[in-house]
Amino acid sequence: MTNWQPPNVTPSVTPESYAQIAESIEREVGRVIVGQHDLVRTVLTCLLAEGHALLEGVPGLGKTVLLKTLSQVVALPFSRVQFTPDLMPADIVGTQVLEEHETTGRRSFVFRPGPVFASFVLADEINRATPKTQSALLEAMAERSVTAGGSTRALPRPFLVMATQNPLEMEGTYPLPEAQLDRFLLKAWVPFPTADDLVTVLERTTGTTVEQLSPVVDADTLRAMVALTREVPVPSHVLRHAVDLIVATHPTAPTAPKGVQSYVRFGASPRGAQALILAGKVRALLDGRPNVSCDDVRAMAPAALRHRLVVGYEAAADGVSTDAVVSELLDAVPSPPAGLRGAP
Amino acid sequence: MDTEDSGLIYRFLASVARRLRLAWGIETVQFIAPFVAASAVALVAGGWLFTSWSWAERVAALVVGVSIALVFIAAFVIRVPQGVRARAADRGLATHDAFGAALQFAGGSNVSPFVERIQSRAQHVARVSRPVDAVPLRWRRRAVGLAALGGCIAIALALVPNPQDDRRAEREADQALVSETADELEQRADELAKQGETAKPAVEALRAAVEALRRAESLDDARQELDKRSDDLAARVPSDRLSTKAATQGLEKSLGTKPLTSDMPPGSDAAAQLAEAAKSIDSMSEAERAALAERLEQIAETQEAGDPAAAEALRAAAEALRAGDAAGAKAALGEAAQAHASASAESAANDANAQASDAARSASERLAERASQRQGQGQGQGQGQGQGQGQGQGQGQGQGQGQGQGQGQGQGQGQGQGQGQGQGQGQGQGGGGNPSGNINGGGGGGTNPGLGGAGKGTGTSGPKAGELPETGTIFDPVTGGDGESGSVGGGEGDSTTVGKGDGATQAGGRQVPIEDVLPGYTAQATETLEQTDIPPSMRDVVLDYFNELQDED
Repeated sequence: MTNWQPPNVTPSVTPESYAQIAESIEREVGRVIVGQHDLVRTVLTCLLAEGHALLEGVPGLGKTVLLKTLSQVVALPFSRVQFTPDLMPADIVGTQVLEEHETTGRRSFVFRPGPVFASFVLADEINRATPKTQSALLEAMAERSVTAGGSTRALPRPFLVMATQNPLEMEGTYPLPEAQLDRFLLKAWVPFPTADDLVTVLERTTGTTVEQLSPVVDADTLRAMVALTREVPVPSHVLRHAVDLIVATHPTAPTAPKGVQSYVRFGASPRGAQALILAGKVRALLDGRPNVSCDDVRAMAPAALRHRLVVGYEAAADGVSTDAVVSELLDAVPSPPAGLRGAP
Repeated sequence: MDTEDSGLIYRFLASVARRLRLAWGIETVQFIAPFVAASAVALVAGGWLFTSWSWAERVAALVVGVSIALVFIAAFVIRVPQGVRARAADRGLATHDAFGAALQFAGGSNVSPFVERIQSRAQHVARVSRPVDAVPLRWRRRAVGLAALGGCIAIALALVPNPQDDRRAEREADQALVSETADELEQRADELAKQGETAKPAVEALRAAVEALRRAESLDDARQELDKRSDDLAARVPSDRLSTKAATQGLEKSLGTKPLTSDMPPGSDAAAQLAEAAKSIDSMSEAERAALAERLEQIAETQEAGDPAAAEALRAAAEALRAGDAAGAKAALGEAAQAHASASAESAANDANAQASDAARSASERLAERASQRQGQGQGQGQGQGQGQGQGQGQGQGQGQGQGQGQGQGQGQGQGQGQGQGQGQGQGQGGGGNPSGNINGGGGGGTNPGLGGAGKGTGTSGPKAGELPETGTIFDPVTGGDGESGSVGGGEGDSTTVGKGDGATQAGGRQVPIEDVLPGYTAQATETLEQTDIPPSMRDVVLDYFNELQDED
């Protein structure tokens, strides 16, 4: 873990305007993205918490459009990397090229930034690249910087990596290592749209009309929102509850429910607790509240923990998903009670 | 945030705390209610099963009351920290930890833009919310249902007439009767104590019986204790007590009416007269000595059975007088006086023991009668049939009347009808001496136990016990023969005949002059009294009866 460095911002966002701005972003994105409100909210949460999102869903559900639209709405650069087995790390982070100066004729190596040097990076089908290439994103995601050619270069702020995975085509893929999965703040399932939503999608995408998006927030405001997110206070009992949840994901923990003991091989790391709290802060602010509650933590638990639980083959054999394990975990670790008989 | 606004949160949380105490009390009551109700049912049911559990209903009510009281006292004193209040309010009002955060970040740095907003939000929630909504009272249907069911069962068991109640009432009545009997015995002991030192052992034994009686736990125990004490006292009474008493009293009476010497005043006691006679021997003439010897000889014969020592001394004195041995006569008379005094004291002690035994026996019989009445109660309710047969033969006549729901038939001279409610009346008429007629007044019968009839028998003629007939004649069973007993009874149905009274029927027989049969009667009565187990009090009656007959003679 590294210490989070606040972006250089001019505070211009209040807790009250935070929710309004976020709502305007969602509304603008919603002009292009039909339905998928939870998915948009998850990606927006990652953006405001300055984390990274891992999306899993079949192709054609609008994952790329979502991130592209979001970049347009917040007026930040967007890049897309289609991961393939022959993709090299330099194709992501950039490389040194030999250039000759136009006037002096002197030759020198010049760094050409890769697609990672954008605020929004879509790592499409990230599990198709080799682990070596996948790991090229590790430093960028964790440190928000890239080291190439002996020098380290900072990435723009905010920096959001949204990776996608196709759950159907497993052949020729390289499952993401746990260390890299842990770098993603949240993981979201991209659901198939409803019939009504699909009709609307067809209406919007098969005609001649193209939605013209306009930015609703600038980069500074977005950075201010990110900074404000960090300032949300968290009561101690909420921190404790997040810790209790994380501890209970470990099969050897006394508080671990039966599902965890049976199916989970490794529980969530401390990054999981961080993800719970950070995502909870965003949720509280988006809800117009000045503090994080246990409900916020619990609401974000599935997205924050489902990719952090390493389940064994028994889970696959029994058809038990990580979401089911997390659900059992939430049932087993309820919100801290008042501690008095008869109290709610 | 000003102080007033800050106080709003704490005031609200204080109201929440009061509500929490109530919720805690109700929740705890609901938790323990099934167990308390089960305990109450068990106690009340125990009251139905065990007669000694007369306290069961009161204790059940006490358990319920004390349990509820303790719970609410505990609810009143239980500590409800601020954190608990805040969490309860947050959970109940779904505030997303508004109060918990407000308490934690109260008075914090205002650098963060959130601290003031946290306080403001909590104040707003406190302003628009009610503690009732924050801590709703939860009713656990199952627990309440079980408790209500148990309570209803317990109340029903308490209200429905309990068969043990009757038994407890009987027991209380028995205890009262036993206590009353003990009081009577104690009073009897006090009366015996007045008889002097000779009655002291009997008095002590009777007082011990009183103490044992007060400790008795049941009527049967009391009866057994009284019977045992009575038997112990009766064992102290020698079989020849009556003859001793007859001898000593006869001697007193004889010398009282006819002194040994003419110079003695009538009414002097026997021992004094014997002593005085011994002193005056020297001054007697030969004729007076011969007369005295004759009188002493006659007296000795009367003392032979009851006081042989006195009889032997009296004979020795008579022989010495005839032999002219004045000194020997004096000595023998002195021995006779001493023997008589000793026999009198022994007789008095025996009387006291007999009276004490009789008192204990009578008390036991009263208790037995009470037990018998109790057994009879509860009989005769319902339908019953009874048949009674009465036969009277000889000269006796008997009439009996009874009333009842049962059916009764009387045959012979008697008519009897069973009385189901247990009251019967019998009337008998008879004349003559032998009070052996029986008239049984209606016995009730029934399939269910009921109150048996208490029969009464009244004799309209014939001598009562202990009274002399007005004529100078007396019934002689030897020459005239016993009249047959006449009995009229309501008879028995399915239950026992409870009422029974003895009246008198007229028995036929030849009336003969008293003086012709009195010696034989006396001898036979004395012999019979010494051989049969007749209550001491009755022995006295018989003995007095014949003494009076002799005196009349």
